[in-house]
Amino acid sequence: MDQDRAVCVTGIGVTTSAGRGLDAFTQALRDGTSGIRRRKDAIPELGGFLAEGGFETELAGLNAPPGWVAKARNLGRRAPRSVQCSLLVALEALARAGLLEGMPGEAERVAVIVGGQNISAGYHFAMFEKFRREPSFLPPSYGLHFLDTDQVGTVSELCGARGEGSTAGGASASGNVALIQGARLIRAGGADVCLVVGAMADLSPVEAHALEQLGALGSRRWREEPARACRPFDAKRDGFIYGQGAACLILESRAGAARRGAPRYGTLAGGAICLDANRSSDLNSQGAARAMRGALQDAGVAVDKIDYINAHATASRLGDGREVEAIKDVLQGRVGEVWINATKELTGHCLWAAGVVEAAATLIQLRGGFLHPNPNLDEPIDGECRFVGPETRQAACTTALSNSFGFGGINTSVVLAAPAPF
Amino acid sequence: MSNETIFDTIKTSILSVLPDLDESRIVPAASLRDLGANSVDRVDIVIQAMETLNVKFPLHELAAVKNIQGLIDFLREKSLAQPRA
Repeated sequence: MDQDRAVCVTGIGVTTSAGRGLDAFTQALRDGTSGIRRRKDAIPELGGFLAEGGFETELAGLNAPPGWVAKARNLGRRAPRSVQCSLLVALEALARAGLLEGMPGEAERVAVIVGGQNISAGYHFAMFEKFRREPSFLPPSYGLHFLDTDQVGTVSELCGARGEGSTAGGASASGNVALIQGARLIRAGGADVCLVVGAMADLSPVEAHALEQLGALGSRRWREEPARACRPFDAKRDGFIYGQGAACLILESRAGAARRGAPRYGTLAGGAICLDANRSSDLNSQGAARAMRGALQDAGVAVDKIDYINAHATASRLGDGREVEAIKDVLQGRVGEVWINATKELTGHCLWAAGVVEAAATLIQLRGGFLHPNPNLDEPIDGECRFVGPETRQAACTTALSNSFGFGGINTSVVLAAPAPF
Repeated sequence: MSNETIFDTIKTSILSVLPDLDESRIVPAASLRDLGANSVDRVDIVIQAMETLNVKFPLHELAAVKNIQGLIDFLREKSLAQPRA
């Protein structure tokens, strides 16, 4: 690993249907607990749904001083749900990073990057309905909240950031795009601290219906058994299951983290983004392989150092097979030695947040010395890959790839490593 | 529509936007700005009250309203002028 290019992860906040907060999420990974449920009145019916109205309860459950909780509550009370989720994960990450006592330097050196686009479609849909009934009663604050960048402004107000800030869109690869941009910013010396948030994808019934019609969304077959519905790499997979979730990683330079003796959750060693000259939803295995190789090159990590891959693996009919081809192409003779699992089986596909949620899942596993199971992997689609499979494994992995591929041929991969001495 | 009903509606709207506000500070002589409502909060409060009372008017007509009493008077006047469904 090129230590000069590696960026430290000093805080993690996460909320998913499988576990809300880092401790609960860690436990869900250890146990292989699925957050996927059926809601007969919802579109889509199956999903990893976050509980309605959980914002204030979850805030109160965070280990943060009352002043911070009150600030986050006031910023989020009337905000769209996705903004509330970003506040929750940002506050948890700041608390875990030890940054609630103060930033290590000037506020002008603190940056915020939020991964996602079309983030609050469900909220927009509700506002359209309200407008259709009576335009006069549309809340004027919609004029602020309809912007994806409302997330950036809100998180910056929470933590007092006055450095760079923007959203990063890359379809289902948005989370990884945000992480890569954050790492580049820290490496370039553009910030001392960068909060990278993967925003909860709040789909409206319209987007969900379109994805269903497109054939992307599962699962008709497992409707009565929601926890069995999401089946990455399994022969009986039939499409992705939507997941609501958000995560935040705090990135700092090695020197900066060492100087303040920051907590160590692991290292973001590098990453790569590449296109396929392809606007469709179909994953291209060559593009996926280029992203993984590019990430390794950027990180200065040889392929033989990789011992685990957190796959993109949405459980799509086409995509999972193409990812297997790409992984085999990258690993070559090592394909039977590198563990592979897919967090989406437990959380659902968190879309814009997936890259950050899965980076968090990867670091939790590397740090915890285990690999989470994929309980639905009854019949793997490939006999050579070393899938973790239905049981949790104790494994002292140190270096991992985490893949995220988006519609429109946006391929990304990041290299993550277990915490190392500064 | 009585002044009391309108005042109670405005108070509910204010507290939903500014939940930490001491309720006793919401008096007719107070202005929304004095109570700590920023520009977005103020229009959200007014729209919420309009929706509850089912009164419609363009927000720019409120320019001359200075405090909660002014808002009560304005809403009452508009509700009287408006045809009932």
